[in-house]
Amino acid sequence: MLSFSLANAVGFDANKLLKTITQRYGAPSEQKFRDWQKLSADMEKIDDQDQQIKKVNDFWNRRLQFMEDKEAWGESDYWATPMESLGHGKGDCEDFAIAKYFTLLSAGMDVSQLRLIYVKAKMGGAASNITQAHMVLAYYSDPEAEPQILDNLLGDIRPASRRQDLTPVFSFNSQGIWGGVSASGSAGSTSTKRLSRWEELLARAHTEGFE
Amino acid sequence: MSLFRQLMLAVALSTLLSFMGSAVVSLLSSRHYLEQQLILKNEDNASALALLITQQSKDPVTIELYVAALFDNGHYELILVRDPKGKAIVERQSPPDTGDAPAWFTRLLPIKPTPGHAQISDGWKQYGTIELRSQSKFAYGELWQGATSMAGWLLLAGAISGWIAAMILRRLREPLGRVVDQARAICERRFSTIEEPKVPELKQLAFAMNTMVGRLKTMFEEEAARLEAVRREVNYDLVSGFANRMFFFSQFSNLLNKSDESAHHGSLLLLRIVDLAAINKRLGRVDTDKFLKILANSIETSIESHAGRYARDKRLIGRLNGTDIAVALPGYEDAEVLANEMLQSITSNLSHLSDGATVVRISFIDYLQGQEAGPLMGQLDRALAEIEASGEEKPRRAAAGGEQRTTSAQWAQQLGMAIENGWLRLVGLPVVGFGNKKLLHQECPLRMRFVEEGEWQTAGKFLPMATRLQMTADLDIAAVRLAANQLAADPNSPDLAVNLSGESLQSEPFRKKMRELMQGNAAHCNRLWLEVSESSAFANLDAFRAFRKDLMGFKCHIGIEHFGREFSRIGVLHDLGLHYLKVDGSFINDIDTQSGNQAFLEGLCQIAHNIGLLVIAEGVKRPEELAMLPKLGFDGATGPAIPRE
Repeated sequence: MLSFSLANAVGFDANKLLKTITQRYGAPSEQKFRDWQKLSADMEKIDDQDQQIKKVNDFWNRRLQFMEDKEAWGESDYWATPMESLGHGKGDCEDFAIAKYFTLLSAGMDVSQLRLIYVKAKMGGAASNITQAHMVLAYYSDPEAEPQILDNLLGDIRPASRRQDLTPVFSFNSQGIWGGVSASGSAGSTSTKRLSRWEELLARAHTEGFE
Repeated sequence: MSLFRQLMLAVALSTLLSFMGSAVVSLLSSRHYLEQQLILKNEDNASALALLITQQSKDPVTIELYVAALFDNGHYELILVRDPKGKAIVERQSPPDTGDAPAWFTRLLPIKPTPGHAQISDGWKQYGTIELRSQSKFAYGELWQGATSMAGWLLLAGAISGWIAAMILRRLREPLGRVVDQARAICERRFSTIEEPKVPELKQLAFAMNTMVGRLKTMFEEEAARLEAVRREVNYDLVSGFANRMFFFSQFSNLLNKSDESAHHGSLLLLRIVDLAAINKRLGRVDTDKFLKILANSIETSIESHAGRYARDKRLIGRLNGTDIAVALPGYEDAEVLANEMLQSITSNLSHLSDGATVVRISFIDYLQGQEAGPLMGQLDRALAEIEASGEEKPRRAAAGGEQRTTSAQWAQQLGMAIENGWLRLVGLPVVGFGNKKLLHQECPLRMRFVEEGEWQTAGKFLPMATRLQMTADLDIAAVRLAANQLAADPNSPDLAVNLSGESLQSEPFRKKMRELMQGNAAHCNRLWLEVSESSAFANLDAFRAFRKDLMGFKCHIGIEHFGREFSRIGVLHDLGLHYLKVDGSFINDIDTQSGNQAFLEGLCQIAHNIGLLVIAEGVKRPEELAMLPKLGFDGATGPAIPRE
């Protein structure tokens, strides 16, 4: 697992990220970035991973206003990078999950402990008949353990067994992909059009300054 | 390396480079494309399989079946499912296969797609990871096939472009070759002009060379004209255009002496203008000159219309003093008829100036080689005196010639028999050089006998008749064959020179036989010298030019003998590519004392050397003459003063 974590480790170039975000979202976004940078710095002082995920979950749930992609980005389904979400201050479920995922990874969490999961969500509780496609971030304290679910629908983090309103469908993370994306250099050189939505997002994040 | 080789090589190299370049670029981009496609396929198939397994029950047999089902369609190198701790649950792997492509090719252009990864979950729990790698042999196969078919097309295109380049070069080669030939000809002192090629650069070159050749020609011609004037002044009477006394006697003595070269008999006429002093007084100087010119013209016309070709070509006319004009016609026999005709023509042409008085008196005589000029003139003089004494006008024979005549039919039979039976041989007269080479060649006049074991006769005895009977071609061929055989038989034999007649040159069968003879003797024809007399060469200029062209490919030497009288036309000869000139003995006669001829010959030698000709003096009689020749620029000499070996 150690070898995996090294191969999939995510860091960031703070100057590059700052430059990206201020160029796109102007001076006010600098403070937002400082806040996020502080969060990352704070996290390194915390050993307890449960504490870490709570801090990250809270940070993003507070920072981002939920909004459908159509409204937020003008596209029906747009996956925003963490910096885009931070600068924009708006996002839908994927944007929450992705932002938390990158923040945790850059704080040193191993990629095998995190999975982005497509879920079928019953809106308004387990008894509801209204379902919706949704995405959450799952945290595994141990590869075989029951995951904790980081969700934007609920403020607190609950274990999966207590989320009867969600049915998992398919999970993925950047394991085995991140290395390829960052090795291929800036996303512009390879044709991002031919990559999947996820890979394209990873490539964009790489250009912004995640390494 | 020749210019054409280099051009061809440059074309080939640049074509090869551009084709190789495009081949490499195209192969690299194909490889990149194939690699990208394989990466996508790996990712997609990994995701699809992960999605499928996630939805199913997770017993190992089911998973194994799904993996096997996908793997067994043969398009995969590896499908590996690991549990979250990294331990393999199911693994299917086939050995790497490069398919049709040879190993060196896959090493040169490796296709290394990244494997596809996807996650399998079991409900909320992690179940495992899929790693999937597609077979790359199909991609290699595709790339290899592309490479081979491209190589084929490029080869074809290369061959076509090479062919086109060769065509273009060939188009260039011909005009360039002509320019090079011209340059070579100039080195050999043949100044010919060429048609200007269409290629601009070559056109300029050809233009420059043509201009240079033109200037040289003009220069030679001007120099020749100047010398011609000198020669005329020294040797000719300016009013009548006939040779002066000294020059006439010099030439006539040669006729009487040179037993090998001239007819052994001929006619000599002496015309005396009656009372020229009175005419001069009556007409004045200008009209007297006109009178003399008409007289000279009448004499020429009578000879032209009566004498045979041989006699016409070899005739000598000299104005011996104010009133006396001598005419020598070698090989001519009907002096009486000619004298009568001449008298009549002169009388009628000059009737308007003469007031019907007697204008000329004519005496004539047949001469034989070996006679002296002085006594002959004396006899003619006496005959003129007899006419005057008798008060008649009729021309008078001075004295009977000695020998019995042979008829034309007898001659033809005798010549034919001699040729048929090979009653011919060559004699060798040395031509010595003044330079390093002591013996330039042997001049080889033909000897003939008319009966078996008979006496060998000189050319002067049979050549005039052979000319009249048009049999010279056979004699010339026989002579050249004798010379060639001698050269072939004896590698140490000196070079041999054979004289050809102008009549032969005009005969197409003769020229064909000559070509064959030369081809048969190509190995030693560099020791063969062929010469044609000046009068024959100019009288048959086109035939001579064609003959020269025939022998261009052979190394034999070609020259002009008895040269000098037509000196001003040396410009016509220069582009024929001749090797040597033999200057007529009449110019060499008493050369040690004749300062006028010395100037002329010195100039002649200079010009001839300028266009690369050897100059040889003929008919050198005295050691004093021989000593003078090297100072004038002569390269060699022949004649009685040269001791025979």
